[in-house]
Amino acid sequence: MEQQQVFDKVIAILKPFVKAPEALATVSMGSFIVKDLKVNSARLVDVVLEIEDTFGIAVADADADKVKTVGDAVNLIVKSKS
Amino acid sequence: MALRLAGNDVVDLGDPANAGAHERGRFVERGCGDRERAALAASSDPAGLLWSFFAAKEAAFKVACKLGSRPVFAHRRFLVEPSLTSVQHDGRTLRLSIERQGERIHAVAWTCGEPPLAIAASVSESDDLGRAARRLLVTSLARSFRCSAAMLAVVRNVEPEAWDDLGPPRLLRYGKPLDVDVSLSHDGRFVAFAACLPGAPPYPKRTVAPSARPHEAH
Repeated sequence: MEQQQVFDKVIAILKPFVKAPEALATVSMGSFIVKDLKVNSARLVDVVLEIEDTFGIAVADADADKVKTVGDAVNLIVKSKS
Repeated sequence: MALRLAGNDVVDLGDPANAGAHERGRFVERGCGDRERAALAASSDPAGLLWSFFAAKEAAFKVACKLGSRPVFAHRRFLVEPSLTSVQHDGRTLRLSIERQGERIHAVAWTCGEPPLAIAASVSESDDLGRAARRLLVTSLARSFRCSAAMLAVVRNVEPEAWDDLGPPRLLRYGKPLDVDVSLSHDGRFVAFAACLPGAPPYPKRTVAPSARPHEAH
C-alpha cells in the first residue's frame, strides 16, 4: 500500500475524533495528533483499535505510545505491513 | 521530603464519543486490567466505573510524567483499585480521589500528603476548553497568591519527549514560576484543575454543588 493511501486512511480514522476540524485543512505528516488536531487522549484507544481493524495489524502499547504525529502513525502502519 | 505532585482528569459522560465504551470488549480490554474488568462486569454502573477508571489512569499518567522518566502512555499499565482510592503504576502507588457529579467525573491522583485543591466547572460549548481550564485555574488561585488573576499565567513548554510534545503546565506570577504544582484537564462540557499549594492547610472536604457551577473539592 502506498504511503499516500495509508495517510488518507489514517486521516479518515482520525476525523471523527478531531476537536479542531479547521486543522484538517492543513493536516500533514508532521501534524501532532493531540496538540494540533486536539484528539482527546482517551480517544487514542479508539484510534489504535480502528488502525488495527483497518490495516489488519496488531499495535503494541509501546509502539502506540511512540505515535505522536500523523506521520508516526503512517510509518508504523507501513512498517507493520511490509 | 517527598515531592507532592498532582494530576487530574475530567470526563463528560454525556459526550457521545464516550457512550457505550463499556460495551465494547476490545476497548475495555485495551484500557483495563483483569481486576478492573472484573469490577466492570459486576458493576451496576459500568459506564460510570469505566470512565472513572480512565480518568484515574490519565490523572496518574500526568503524575508519573512529573516524577521522572517518561512512562509509556498505555491505560492498562495504570491499575486502579476498584474501590477508586489508589492507582498502581510501575511499583508505585498514587493516592486517588474521584468525584462524580451528574455526568461529570473528576479524578485527582497525587503522590503524598493532603489531597490537592481540585476544582471542576461547566463551560459553554463555544468556549475554548484549554483557555477555559487555564482561566478557572488562575481565577481560583489568584487569592492564594495575593494578586489578580491577570498577573497569573499558565505555560507549557515544548518537550519533545512528552507524549503530546508539551511538558506539564506551570503557573507563573509576573512571569516568574510559582512554587505550586498544577494539572489541567477538559472534556466535553467540563474543565478542571488540581493544584498542590505549598504549606497550605487541608482543603475543605469536597462539596457537591446543586448546579453545574464551579465547585471546590478537598
